[in-house]
Parts: sequence; C-alpha cells; structure tokens
Amino acid sequence: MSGARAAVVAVASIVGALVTGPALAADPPPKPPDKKDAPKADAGKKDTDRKDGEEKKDDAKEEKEVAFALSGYVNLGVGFTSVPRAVPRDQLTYGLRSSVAGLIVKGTPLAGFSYVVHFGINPEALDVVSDVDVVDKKGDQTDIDATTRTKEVTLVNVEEVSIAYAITSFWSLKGGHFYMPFSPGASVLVTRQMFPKRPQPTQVFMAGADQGISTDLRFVDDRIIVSAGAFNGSSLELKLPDTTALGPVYSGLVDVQPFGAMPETEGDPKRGPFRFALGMGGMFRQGKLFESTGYEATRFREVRLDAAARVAFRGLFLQAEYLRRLQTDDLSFRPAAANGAYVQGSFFFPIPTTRLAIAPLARYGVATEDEQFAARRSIEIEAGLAFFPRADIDDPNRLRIIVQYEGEQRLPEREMAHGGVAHVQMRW
Amino acid sequence: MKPHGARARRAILPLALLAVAAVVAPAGCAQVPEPGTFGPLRLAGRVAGDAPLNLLPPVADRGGNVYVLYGGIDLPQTIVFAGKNGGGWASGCSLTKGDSFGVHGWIGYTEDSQWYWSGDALVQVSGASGDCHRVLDTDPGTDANLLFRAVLPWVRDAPSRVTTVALVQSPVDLLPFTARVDLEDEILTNIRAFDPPDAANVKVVGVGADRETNEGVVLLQYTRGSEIRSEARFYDADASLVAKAAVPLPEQTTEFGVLGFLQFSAGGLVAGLLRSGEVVSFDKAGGKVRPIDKITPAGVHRWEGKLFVVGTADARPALAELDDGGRFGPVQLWTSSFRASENLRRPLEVRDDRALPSTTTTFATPRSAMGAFPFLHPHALTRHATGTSLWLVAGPSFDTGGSKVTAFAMAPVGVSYP
Repeated sequence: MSGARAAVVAVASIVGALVTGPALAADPPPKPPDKKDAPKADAGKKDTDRKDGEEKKDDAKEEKEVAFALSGYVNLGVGFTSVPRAVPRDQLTYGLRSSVAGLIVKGTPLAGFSYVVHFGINPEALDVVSDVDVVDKKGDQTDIDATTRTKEVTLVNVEEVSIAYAITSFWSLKGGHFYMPFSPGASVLVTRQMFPKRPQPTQVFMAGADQGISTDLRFVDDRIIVSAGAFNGSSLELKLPDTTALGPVYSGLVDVQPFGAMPETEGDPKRGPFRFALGMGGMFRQGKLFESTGYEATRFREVRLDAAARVAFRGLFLQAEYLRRLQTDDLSFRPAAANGAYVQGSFFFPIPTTRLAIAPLARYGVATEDEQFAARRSIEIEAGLAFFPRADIDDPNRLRIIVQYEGEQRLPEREMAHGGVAHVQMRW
Repeated sequence: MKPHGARARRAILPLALLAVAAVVAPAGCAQVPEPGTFGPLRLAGRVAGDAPLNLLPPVADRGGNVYVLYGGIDLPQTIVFAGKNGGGWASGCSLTKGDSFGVHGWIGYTEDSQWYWSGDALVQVSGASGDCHRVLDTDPGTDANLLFRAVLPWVRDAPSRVTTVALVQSPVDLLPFTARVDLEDEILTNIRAFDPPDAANVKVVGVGADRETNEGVVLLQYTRGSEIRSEARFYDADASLVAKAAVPLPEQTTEFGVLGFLQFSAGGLVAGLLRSGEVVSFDKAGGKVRPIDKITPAGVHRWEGKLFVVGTADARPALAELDDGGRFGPVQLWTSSFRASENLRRPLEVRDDRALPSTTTTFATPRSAMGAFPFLHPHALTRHATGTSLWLVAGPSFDTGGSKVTAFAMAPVGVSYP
C-alpha cells in the first residue's frame, strides 16, 4: 500500500469512527478473496484478448494484492411536498430530497482479510438546539417559558466500518459497525434501492447500522445464505425514552434463492431468467433497563421478525416484506407492538435501437405502530418512472434518473401528504 | 439431469423456512392478562381523604408515561402525579383556574405529554419532567383572561400539528367562541362566534370525542328569549360544526350535568350519565333521556367500540350494554371488576419509585382507591394495552394533624366488559 493510500484509509476510518448517527445503507458482507466480485481497483485495464483461465488467475493475484479501492456515489433529488392541513408555512415545501454523497473504501490487504469503510454526507443541514434560555414572561415567576436557539449541522452518517475474515470460500466472519442481518429491504445499499428512499415500513423496525459481529455461510453457489450475529442494539429504537437499555441482540437471516442468485439491485436490469428468493429474518433481545440514576428499572424482551419474498424475471422485479415487532417489559405491562408490510415492483425495459432504458416503479406500504395502545397507521404510496441513459453498460444503475410521486396517509388523523421528486443517481 | 437428492434439498428448503416461521411467529404475539388481575403496582403518592379517594382513573401517553389526577368537578383542588416510563414520579402540579368547578378530566396525549381540563384552565403536563403549564392562560392578542368553557376530550396528534377543539370565552365576551387550539404553538385558529348571536345563559352540559372518527361533541343548553334549547353540537378537528341535534334535556340549574365525559360508540351513538341518574343518549339525528332502575349507575363507559352503563346491582359490580338505539341491555355481573375486588383481599407488594433507586413496600390491606368496586367511576377506563387498563389501589391511611391522607399505587389490570 502506498503511503498516500494508507493515509486516506486512515483518515476515512477515523472519520467513520468519530461520527455517529442514523445510517443510510449497508454494504453486503465482504466475500472471500477468491470470489469474482471482490474489489477490483483497475478492472478496466484487463486485457480482454487473454483466455478466461489466464484472466481468472490474474484476477486472483490482483485481488490478493488490492489493498485499497475507492468508490462512491452522488444521489441528488429535488422535490416538493404538499400537506394541505398543515400550518401555512408547511403546506407547500420544496428543496432537496433523498440526497446523499457517499464514499466507500474497501480492500483486501492480506489474503482472507478485508475491510469496508462507508460513510455518507447529507447536504440537507439539520437544525439542532444550540442554546436554551428560560424566560419569565410576566416577570413574576407565574409564566415561565423557554426559548431555544438552533444551529444548522451537516450530518455525516457512518454506514459501515468493518473488518471481515474469510475462513473458507463459503464461510466468513465480520465485525464492526454495520447492518444486522435481518431485512433485505432495510439494509440494502442506498445505490441499489428501487426508489430513492427505503420502504417506509422498514424504517419502523430498523433504523440503521449497529455494532457487533456476524458470520455468513453461503452454500450451493450462493443460493442459500445464512447469516447470524450478535450486536449491541444501538440502532434499535426502544420505546422507553429516558432510560438506558443493555442487552445483546441476536440476529439472523436465512435467504434461499433456489434458481440462482438474485440481482444485487432491487431491479432486474440484466433481464435474467426466472429466479425467486424467500427470506426470513429474526432478532431477539433480552436485557435490562436502567433508570436515570443508573439502577435497574425493569427487564425487557424484544422480538422482531421479517419474512421476505423476491422475484426477478426478464426485467420484472417484485419484492414484498412483512415485519413485526413486539417489546415487553415487567414494569409498564404495555407491549409495544408494531407490524408493517410493503410490496414494490419495477420492470426494466430497454428502448430498442437506443442505449436507453426505462422502468416503471410502484410501491405500496403499510405500517401500524402502538397497536396495543392506540394504533397509528401510515400508508405509503409511491409510483414513478426510472430512466437509464446508459442501459448498455454493465450496471445501468450507475446513472439513473427517477421522476416519482410519493404520498403518505396517516390514520386515524386522516392526514395526507403528497409530493413529487426528481432524483439523479450517479455511481463511480 | 440433476440428481434427485439435489431436487429434494431444494424442495425441502422452502418448507423448512415455513416450518421455522410457524415456530417463531408466536413469539411475536403478546400475552393478555386475565381480567381482574393486577400487574406490578407503583406507589404514586398520597392524597387527602380515605378511600374512595377523589382520583380519576390513570391514563398514559404514547411513550408509556402514566398520569394520575386528583380532584373532581365539585372540588376546586387539583394535583397531578406523573410517573415516568422508566421509573420515577413527579408531583406538585396543581394548576387550575376559577373556583366554581374543579377537574373535568384528561383531554388527550401525544408522545410524552398529557393535557387536562380543570376549572376554566387547559393544562399541559410533560411526562418526561412532570412540569405543567396553562395553555393560553390569556389571549395572546389582548392579554384578556381566557376561559376554557368546554374542551373536547381528544388531542389530534398529526404530523403537521397537534390540536384540540374548545369553546373559549373571555370575561368581557357575552358568548363563547368555538376555536381550534394549536397545542404546540398555543394559538387559536378557526375562531367562530356562537350561533345564534342572541343566545343567553349558555351552559355546557357535557363534552365527548372520538379519536377514530375525528369528531367531538358539546352538549349544551341556552335560552333564546323565553325558550330553553338543548343541543348536541358535533365538531370536526378543524372546529367546524358538522351536525346539530336537539336533545330533550331537563332544565339544567348548573353546568356540567354529565358525570365524566360523553362516550361515542362505534355505531355513532353518544351517551352519558346525568347527575340526576338518568342516561342521555343521542346521535346526529336527535336523542333521549332515559331513567335506569335496575342498576345504581356510576358512569357510562366505552370499551372496544361498545357502550356500557356501569354501577352496582345487589351490592355487586354490574353493567348493562347500550345498543345503538340507546336502549339498555340486561344487567350483568361485571366479572372482571368483581375478580379485581377479590384480588385486593390479600397483601400486595408495591414498588416505590418516587425517589430513585426504587425500593419495595407492602400494602397490607389494599382496596380500590376509587368507587365501590374497581373500575366503577364516572370516567371511562382507558385502554393501556389489549385487554388492559390502569387502576389505582389505596394503601394505608395516616392522620396528619386531624386530617387523613392515604397512599395509593397505580397498576395495570386486566379488563373485560362484561
């Protein structure tokens, strides 16, 4: 590794370690070094005249030597949102939507050992409270209020900082800060999503990356993938604020793709043969909840379940998921239960005699929270059209333009929000 | 041709997934407590008097903080006890306004707040800190004293704004105004004058609301010339009048003749218990006042979309269901109330987390803190979880210089109707 490259990796790792916040996407676990899609820093320089056997040998040699590969993406969206029943200021808003610029550094500096550092910068600044003043409105201590000052802060979200070790060609270990194996829709890489945003129902169940270790087993040409891990649960929203929850999260995902590996993106731009996948994920957590004084308040248990199905066939891609959460504790006697489901689909259609392609997209999702106490339901409807200006390249998602409608309804308050977004994704 | 073994393995895998799903899925189901069974008790505080105490059934916010209100419509004193979801209690909030009436009841909640209506004040209580403050104590424009004559017991907690609907009046106004109250920015919008403008002696008899239908109702009586009119006025979340129905109420000598709040059934019937012991029921087309004689009524409750008159019959807790025409069903023993009463006949361990870290104490002779039996109260029980509500249990009483104070604890409890 050259000194300059090592410095960049070190800086990226430090930035990733220092900055925490809600994550945007996960990277799939690194594959063993003999897999064909391991990092290829200079893949474009391959001599295509050589025979396949020679090429593979050279690839393996290159992969062993690749210590640093830099990639990234820029996702930019502009749009508007209309909420007719909001206060006048918020009835029509416009600006950036689902915009993020990401950098991914990965490599295999030693045979079997690999690393990933992935972080995203959100250009939409967030208002955070920087100062609070207590105000005595009437000067007689009878009407006390507080005023706050806010400051705009740009977020750098850490998606993944991990190190993996390939024990064998089908078995690997991974540790660090990354997405738990649980839901395909909640953890897919941001550039591989069908829509600019993840399905809203999945956000209720998985907020981002977590800290822990996991192991992956891949059998029968990656047709069966079994992942399991233990995490600290920092990404799980516990429904008891002002408390500290301690207890490991055990997470697992089984994904079966009997007719061959599914596309890595939420779409089928290669218009492959019929394939489908069935997946099931689960999380279990049992821990203690501590009061603000640091003493034990109660014990809690939490189960989250996921069932997913995906189908790809000649450009058609369908994906559906059902998720459920149940958290109980010994103090409140109120189970925090939620469930959600969504279905989304696209059809990749190359325009003949051009290098363009289009794909109509649609998604419908429902999430119900607090169903034991006072159920609150959110319905998500999205529909749009994706344009691929370079459908002739290996991965048309490297340049993609989406124009879409996004709507949300909240029940029982009967509040509707409508919006339109134009979104461009560029990967490099 | 592929070997049979490989095909079999492929066929088995989806079946194995389904089998795993069948085994794991029940783990996502919550257990419902047996009706009448108490969950863990938390010591909330002490209040004046001996059981039955002037307390309202506890409520919770979306975040799981719990709230207890001491007071009553004829008691000008108000005290709030707020229990944090992770332990710890705060008390001391005693805001009200005026001395003609005391606590009307809890209005509604958001993630970490509750609002109550006491006297002429609408008060917000923070579950996180226990702090409270009057909402719109004065008119922001004129600084005139603002009186909440009626507040519909429903907080619409939408992503865009948090609101309720109220009838407000300042001392210089002859008639109240209806308004949408923005509970975040604390402003009044959609203000409309009372109609007819020549009405006089407007008396609020009762209020009710239904979160599911996003509607509330004010039952009121006023005079117009020599004519006495009684009306139920239905409002939507924007404080727009959506319906008006004549209700043949007897002449009201004082305000707030309905005990607790009016309750909505899933079928659209609204009912409440009058101080006279009669039940008033109506919908958007009109209503009736009916006497009830087979039960000594304590209130009208709503549970799972159905309405019940609850009370005592033959010295036991009883209830009678109201159909959508407002007619009473047969009087039945309220078994979950009776079982809860039986479950209080033994010492109960109580967690005292008023000061952290929490400790444990025992109520040697526990009894229901309100009502002749558990769950008997003019105010309806609120849903804490599926088949579960909250109730208060009284503990030991103490003499403090001639007056008595009684400790009480809050507990989740299994409930069913009947």
